[in-house]
Amino acid sequence: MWPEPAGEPPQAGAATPTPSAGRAVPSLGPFAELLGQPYQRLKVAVLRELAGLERPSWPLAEAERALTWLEPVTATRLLSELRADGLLVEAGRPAGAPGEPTAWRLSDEAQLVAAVCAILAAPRIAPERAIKVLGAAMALARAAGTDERATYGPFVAATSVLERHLDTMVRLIDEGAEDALPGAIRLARTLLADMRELLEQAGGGQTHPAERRAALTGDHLQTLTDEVEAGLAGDGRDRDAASRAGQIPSAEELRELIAATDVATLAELVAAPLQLPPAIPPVRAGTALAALDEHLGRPEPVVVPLPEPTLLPIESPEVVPDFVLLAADVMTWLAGLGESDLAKWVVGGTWAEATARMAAAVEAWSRWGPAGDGSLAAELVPRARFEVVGHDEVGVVSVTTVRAPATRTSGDPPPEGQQPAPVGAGSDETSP
Amino acid sequence: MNAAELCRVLLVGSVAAADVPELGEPETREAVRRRLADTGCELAYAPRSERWLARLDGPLPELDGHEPVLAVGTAELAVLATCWLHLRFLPEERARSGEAPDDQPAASFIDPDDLAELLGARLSGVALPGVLERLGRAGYLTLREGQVEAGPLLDTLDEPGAVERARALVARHQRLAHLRQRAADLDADGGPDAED
Repeated sequence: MWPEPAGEPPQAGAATPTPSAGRAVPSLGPFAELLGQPYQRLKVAVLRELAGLERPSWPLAEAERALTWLEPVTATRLLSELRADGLLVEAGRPAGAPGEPTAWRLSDEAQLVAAVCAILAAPRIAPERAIKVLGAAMALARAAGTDERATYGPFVAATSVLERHLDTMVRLIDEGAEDALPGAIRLARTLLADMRELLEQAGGGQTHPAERRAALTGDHLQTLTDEVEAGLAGDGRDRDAASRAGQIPSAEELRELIAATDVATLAELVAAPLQLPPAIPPVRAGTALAALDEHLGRPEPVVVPLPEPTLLPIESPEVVPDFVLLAADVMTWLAGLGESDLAKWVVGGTWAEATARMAAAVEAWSRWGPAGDGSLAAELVPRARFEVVGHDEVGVVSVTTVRAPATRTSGDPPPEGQQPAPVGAGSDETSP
Repeated sequence: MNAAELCRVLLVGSVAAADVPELGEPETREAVRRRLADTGCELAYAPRSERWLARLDGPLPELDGHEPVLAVGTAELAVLATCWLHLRFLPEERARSGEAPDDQPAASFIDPDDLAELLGARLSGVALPGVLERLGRAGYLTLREGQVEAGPLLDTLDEPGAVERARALVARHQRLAHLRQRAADLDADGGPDAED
């Protein structure tokens, strides 16, 4: 078993050794954070340094000299700890001639840790190598005879890499980043090839859930990559896939295009062919002055005085006669003239005015005529007669004659200039 | 009108072909072309609106202190491109392919509210009515009864380069729309989580 590394410096209270100024500690990359305390990092860094020496075994003094980035005292102490941990062991043969100091080497486990750490110390693993590295890790786990969980761990990680790349491709499509898609396709092809190798390495049976998920994700990415590649190629391979690429757009499609295209790209569409019109205003100084002269030459506006105030005639409401009383007066007056037609008063003006007068006459006749109180000094006599209509037709009309009541002497005309008296005034002439 | 007077007319604005029959005479037309060319302009004819117009015969040199009467910025160009795509490019493409569905006749005008919806918020604070007014004054658009119609200068954008760029833009949009749809279909049908 691999001995647990010391978590603290051997001497209690001793400060963590620090590298000498100006010398570079071998980088452990992201692995350094996992190691936690700086002291453990230094021990791993020493292992890496020793694993990189030209010879597999060396005297301790030579090892100390190789650790140029440590103070000599610190280097001696760390080498001593590694020996105590069993990571630094005697080589079993002298390093040089008889009398030379004992040779030392890294134990087999230390060599393995140094090798793995060298990989983990890589500051960044290129995306296209991600699954390949994970495949190597899986192979390493199998070679080391670890349990199934450790074996399929890299498988899950590799599937995650594919899923992330799938998401990336979908995002690039959504963002319309067409220029970035060819690179994404190349990376997808590399990852898919590595994933196929990984699946073959696992036996190809897809018995483990992690294998099945990896295969499914791979198929999904493969299909999308093929579709994107065909679409970008524009060679017609995608036409049977209901793509509208190259077809005349509908108005709605054009609206969507404009809405999805940034303003600068739209502007570029017409910027090149744009040939501005000359914009010369047709105004010269002479023209402007002539216009000003014409304006100033107009007659000055004259202020019109306000009209003088005048008193308007005010008519009392009582003065306005009742229309029915007026009709009675008129009929009395007409009766005073002898026989006369009621039509002389009724007919005239608009239809509304004429019917209003007719209604007033009927009302007056009803109130004060024979059917009323009999005070009306006039008598209405309706007579039917023929009247020629047009050339060869006749019609029957009713003519209402106004005359004095029968009690009065029929041949006695009213005095000259007699004005109609108000109905009910009680005069002798109008009394029944 | 003689050639000089015709040039004055054209430099101030476009003119209906019917109002300048002199430009129908080859000699006069050539004289006008020559005079305009001397001032960095060219004579052009807008067939749809049947108007003659003058335009610059090359790109405008950039000068720091220059104050053009008609300053065309990104906002104006974007609005112009949108109108050109709807009023010129789309009808021409349909006519070219013989594809003109009866239920989708090409529009001869654009509603300014539509333009505002499409571009209004993306014009970097430039007011759309002002942009339309400037493009209308320049002759690219005509504002009639509350609608935006093509002006005589819009025809001058119908160059092969612009048409090709527009076709490429449309094809790219259609490709990406198709790929988005396929990605969504694949995700729904056979995505890694489908089995779960």
